[in-house]
Amino acid sequence: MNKINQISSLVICTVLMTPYSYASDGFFDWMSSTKRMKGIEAIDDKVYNEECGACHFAYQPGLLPQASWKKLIDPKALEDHFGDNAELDAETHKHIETILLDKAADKSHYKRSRKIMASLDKDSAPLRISEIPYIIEKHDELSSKHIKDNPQVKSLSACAKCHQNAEQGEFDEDNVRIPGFKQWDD
Amino acid sequence: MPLLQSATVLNATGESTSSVDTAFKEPWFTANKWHQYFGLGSLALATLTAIVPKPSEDDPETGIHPTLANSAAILGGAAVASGLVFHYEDLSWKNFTKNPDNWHALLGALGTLGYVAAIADAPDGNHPTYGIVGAVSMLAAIKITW
Ligand code: HEC
Ligand code: HEC
Repeated sequence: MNKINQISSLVICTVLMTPYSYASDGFFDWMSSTKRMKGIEAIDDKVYNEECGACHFAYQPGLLPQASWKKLIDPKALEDHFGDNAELDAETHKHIETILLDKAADKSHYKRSRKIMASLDKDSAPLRISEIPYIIEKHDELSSKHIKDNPQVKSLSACAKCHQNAEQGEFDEDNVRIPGFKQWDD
Repeated sequence: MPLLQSATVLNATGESTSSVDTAFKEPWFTANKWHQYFGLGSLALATLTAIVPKPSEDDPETGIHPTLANSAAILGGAAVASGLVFHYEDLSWKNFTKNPDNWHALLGALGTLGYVAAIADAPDGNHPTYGIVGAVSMLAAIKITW
């Protein structure tokens, strides 16, 4: 009797977990991993971090879907990247493109990447992280005195100014400190 | 020079003088942290409940096993309550199944219900099933947001 009970519990739990495994390769790798995957996957690649972190915070690929990165990484598009020239030589381009496409939000099991994907309409491919509904909603309590009129921040795109562990892919509310303001507490 | 980074040299006109340069230390006790400790604590206590010696049949209400079980249920309840208070806006109807926090909340609530059902059903022979379903659901709930 006890064995039957235990087996049936396992079955019930497995069934409960199934819907969560929607469209995911590597679901079982994720399930069996004890790694912390609450944030966004950190990128520990020197070339990526140097090239894409030269002008701004090196946004992790897990912050945008693959379709967005495809548009952004297009060689023509890089020549006019938000008004700047962010051209890359062919070899570097290939290297960075692979990282961006492999680790894009829709390929990731990291929780905040999933939150980003859940907030976007199907097929939507924003060019800015700061245009993702999830990111907009998370910052709707902030005002221009924190961002635009804050000389140490200036733009919501400057994630790492406020998120002290942004480079590690951690965006928890607990790790926020807005320059010029006290510990964030909502 | 990097466009966005260069802004650091300017002085803040904000309300405090705290500087960005001092090393950042993550606080230990925040609302989020309490929620996390409640959930982890309930799972740890449920696991202990399963492995400690069981009470004798003539006096099933006393002993470490029922005490741990009750504590697990209380912490589970505290985890659900604090989750609803502090993270309510992380739940959503839109794209319901795609939102990991919906699963986290459902499994966490189911876990606590499992604990409560096990206690209510004890010392009946079936009560371990409820307890195990509860603990596995709680584990899955935590995994989703780990
Ligand atoms: C030559 C400087 C430069 C380089 C190099 C550069 N960028 Fe940018 N990037 C910019 C500027 C300028 C903006 C617009 C910033 C703003 O409007 O606040 C921007 C914006 C972005 C945004 C949108 C941010 C938002 O608002 O959400 C993304 C994503 C981005 N860059 C990705 C990359 C990636 C990936 C690379 C590496 C291939 C890269 N950038 C390299 C200058 C650069
Ligand atoms: C002006 C400072 C500031 C900037 C810049 C900023 N954030 Fe935030 N962010 C915050 C604050 C404050 C919160 C907590 C808001 C709340 O919970 O009410 C937050 C919350 C978040 C959250 C949710 C955290 C949680 O615990 O639920 C995510 C994800 C996030 N930010 C990502 C980003 C990304 C990505 C960028 C860059 C594109 C960015 N932020 C830029 C201040 C900032």
